[in-house]
Amino acid sequence: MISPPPIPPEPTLIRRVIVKPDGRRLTFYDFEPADADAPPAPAPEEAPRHVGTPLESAAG
Amino acid sequence: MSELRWNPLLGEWTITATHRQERTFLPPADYCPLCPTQPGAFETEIPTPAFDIVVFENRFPSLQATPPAPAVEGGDLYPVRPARGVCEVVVYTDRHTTTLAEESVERIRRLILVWRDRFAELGARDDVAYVYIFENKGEAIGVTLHHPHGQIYAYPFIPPRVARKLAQAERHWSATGRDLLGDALDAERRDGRRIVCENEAFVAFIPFFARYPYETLVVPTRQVAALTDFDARERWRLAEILKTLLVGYDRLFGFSLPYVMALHQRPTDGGDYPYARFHIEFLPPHRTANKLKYLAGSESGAGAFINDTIPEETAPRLRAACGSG
Repeated sequence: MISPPPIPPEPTLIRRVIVKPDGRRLTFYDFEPADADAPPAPAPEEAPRHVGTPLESAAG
Repeated sequence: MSELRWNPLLGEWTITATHRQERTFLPPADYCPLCPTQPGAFETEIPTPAFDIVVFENRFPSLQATPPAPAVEGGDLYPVRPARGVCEVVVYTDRHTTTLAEESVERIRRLILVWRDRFAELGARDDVAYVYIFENKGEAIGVTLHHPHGQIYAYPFIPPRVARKLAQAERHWSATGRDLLGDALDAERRDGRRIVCENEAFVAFIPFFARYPYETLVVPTRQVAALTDFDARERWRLAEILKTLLVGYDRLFGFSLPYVMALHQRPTDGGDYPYARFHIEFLPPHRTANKLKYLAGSESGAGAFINDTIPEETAPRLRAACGSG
């Protein structure tokens, strides 16, 4: 059986946010090469959210 | 003017966005707003001479974080709401004349990391119920800018087609305890005729029920509901299978194939969706090299799709184009 090809180490994502003159947000995503010995980066956390009244039910 | 208008006949929202009539339409390459800004040249959306991947809020958004009040008065029959949400543009590269199919697996993986980041950030917003990542590619689809890019709509509601698919999945889950797309994947793998390409973590196939001749679903072999739930191995395998499929699409008719690419993930409205399974849907409008599938009377008026082909015949062609046999 042929084993799947190896996976290159995952780069680290780096964000740099600027606000454009008209107020819109722009994010530069850059990537640092991975350290081959480093453990995989954790997934970004989703913040707990407040759940309001959904629009669907408001519309009936 | 921009607002949500309730359609009581279909039970869904229509988004009005009259300012989008003025958006940039197929500008010449030296006035592309998605290219990097070069010294002394026209100032684009991106104020640097080079970049890797950039995401910015759409200048002509259908949904806005701070929307204007509705310009019309609603009522019991016709509720209206502010068009609240977020519309973003994802610029895949600073090179104008490439496509995602021409990019390396590594760059596609980077794009997946950006998608994951945007899903996590936008999905955490109180006013966002569904984060929809997509790409419109090609003039046949109606793109207004050729520079390789995709978009993200963070809706304040679950869009109707997504809601319908989730309702079907929930019904199946309640009846069987299994996720519907997982069962569809098992059926496709058992049959085999409609498989286009696969690897250890993903399978791409033209589904039994395809509405477009070369419509493809890319489905994970593990039930994962969102990009944030994949591990590094799966992200790489997703990038690999996307590369294989996109190259196959371009080889199919010998030109860069237009398509809609739609990422489907669990909603972010705080609900529980144990029956949701992440998948990517490709909807190319071409049925042959020089004929398009139009959404005409039956599709637009009645919602009943007519496919002039059968997937048992189209899948082998796309499979061969992908180099998968």
